[in-house]
Amino acid sequence: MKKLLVFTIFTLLILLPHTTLATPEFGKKESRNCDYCHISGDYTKLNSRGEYYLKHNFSFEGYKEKIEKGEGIGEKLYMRYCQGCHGEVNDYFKNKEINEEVISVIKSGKMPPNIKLDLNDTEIKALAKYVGYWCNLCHGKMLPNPEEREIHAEGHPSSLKHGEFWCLNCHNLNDRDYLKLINGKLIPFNQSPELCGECHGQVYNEWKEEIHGRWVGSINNPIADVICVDCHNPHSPKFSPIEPMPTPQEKLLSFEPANYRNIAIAVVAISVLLMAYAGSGRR
Amino acid sequence: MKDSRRNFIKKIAMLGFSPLAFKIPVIDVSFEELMQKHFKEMSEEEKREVIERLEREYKEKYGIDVKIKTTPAKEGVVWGYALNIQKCIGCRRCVYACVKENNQSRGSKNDPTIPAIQWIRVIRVEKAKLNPETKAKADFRVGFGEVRAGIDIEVTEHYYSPDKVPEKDYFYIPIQCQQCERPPCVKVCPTKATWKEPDGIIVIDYNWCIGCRYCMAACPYWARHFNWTEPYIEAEEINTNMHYLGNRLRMKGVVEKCTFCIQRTREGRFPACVEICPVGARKFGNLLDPESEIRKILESKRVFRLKEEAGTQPKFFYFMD
Repeated sequence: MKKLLVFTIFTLLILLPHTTLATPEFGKKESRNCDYCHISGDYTKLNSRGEYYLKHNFSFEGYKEKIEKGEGIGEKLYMRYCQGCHGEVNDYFKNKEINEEVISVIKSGKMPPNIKLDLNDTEIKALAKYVGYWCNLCHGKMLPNPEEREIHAEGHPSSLKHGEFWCLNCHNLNDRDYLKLINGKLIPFNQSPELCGECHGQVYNEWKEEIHGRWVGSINNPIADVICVDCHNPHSPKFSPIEPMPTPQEKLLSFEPANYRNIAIAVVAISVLLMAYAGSGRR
Repeated sequence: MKDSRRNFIKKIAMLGFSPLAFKIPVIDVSFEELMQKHFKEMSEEEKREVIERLEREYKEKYGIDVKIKTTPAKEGVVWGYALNIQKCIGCRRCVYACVKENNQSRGSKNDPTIPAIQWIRVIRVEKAKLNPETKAKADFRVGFGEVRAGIDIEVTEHYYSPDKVPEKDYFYIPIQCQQCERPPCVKVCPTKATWKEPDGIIVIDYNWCIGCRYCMAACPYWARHFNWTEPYIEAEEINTNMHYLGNRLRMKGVVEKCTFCIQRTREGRFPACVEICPVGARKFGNLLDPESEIRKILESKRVFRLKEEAGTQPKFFYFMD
């Protein structure tokens, strides 16, 4: 029995460091994460990059990325420099907004392959635009912390002025590319109205019947692809007051009934006088 | 003496001809314009001639190429408008979008006698006045038995200008042409220069308007506006997409008003005020289409019309959520 216990402890002692600190020397040497050479999720297999590395005497020298697949400059650059570690960008976030944080991180030189040197400003901008504010760009590489707290991260919404809510009432803890309904069902960001509708049912129904919202497009095809968050900021839904445009110059006639009464009295008085005058003349 | 008499006659003669000498325009109207038929009686050929003449005149006056349309009303369409007064924040964006779209006089900065004309008027109303428990004040007109609440729009604030809108204790009612089903303005026009089109829009043929302003007196909604002076508009600010009955350039001495942006709506586009509204308070659509948004609003919301007791039956509805 004692032998078995000692054996297990020894086995664990030998195995544990290897599983937790499994960055092999190749990874350290190239300062790359696992996903760079292995297929994400199944690290027993190598991707094309890893295969090249293996076949060319553990060196990337002469390796050319297959970047023909990408359409825009941003996508090509992403596939060459970022996809290895960060994985594929969620379609919903692609080419939506320029992520300023990405620009500053690349320029600071914090990214492992020093891509700051290779790219000019327009290319970095294209890359930041392609990625957009894609949650898993950072959260995919972070351990989830479900504790309720203030968030201090650049390029991240810091305050939440939407009822008594906390991020994880709507966002999913383990995969931030999804939102979570009350029943636990995960929905992608482009189906967010379903989530909004859980509290704002009446407005949600009106929106579905196309009687809520700003009208754009033509009369026959009114609200085209506009969802709640296109107009309402989900983290601070209240609209701030705006400045009114200048007051009108033109003065309109006052239609106060009192004025009419005076005019009516005057007209009656004058006509009575005229009639009296005409009557006196006939006599 | 002889000399002076001759001089006197000369002077008289010169005085008589002086309008010609100084080119003082006695009647600034071309012969074609003078002989122009009423729009409803024109044949297609005559319409085309008038459009050509107008386009030529605008080119001469402002140096711009414009396109004037005479698009007729579609069958099976009656336009209706709905405005959510609970959402309106009184920002007057609609007023200025309308001015830009419909070529109203901008008002001259140098000459204060040339005013800016606006077809939309936004009034501000105190919320407290709608509370039945408020004590009766002079501007209360509507009383329902014991309850005295409501507003008389004729004594409300048109010229409010706070730093930021919306203000806490007020709501706002934009008023423009209500496109009445029984329009009093059409009834009083002595020259039949204004009439109701088959799609429910009240239009004006500016060339037939004599400027008597009876319609302005008849309209209970301040919807009609008179060009007291030659309208002032910079050539580069002119919207060249024009309709004969809508936003074509007006002249001195004619009445004008909102036409639901006839040049846009007859092509299936929304009016300019609907497009600009930042809060989506304005809704527009076909009243005859049971599937249209406007019908759904009229069926499901609390709707009222301005001065319903006047019996004008406006096709402009106000609603609340």
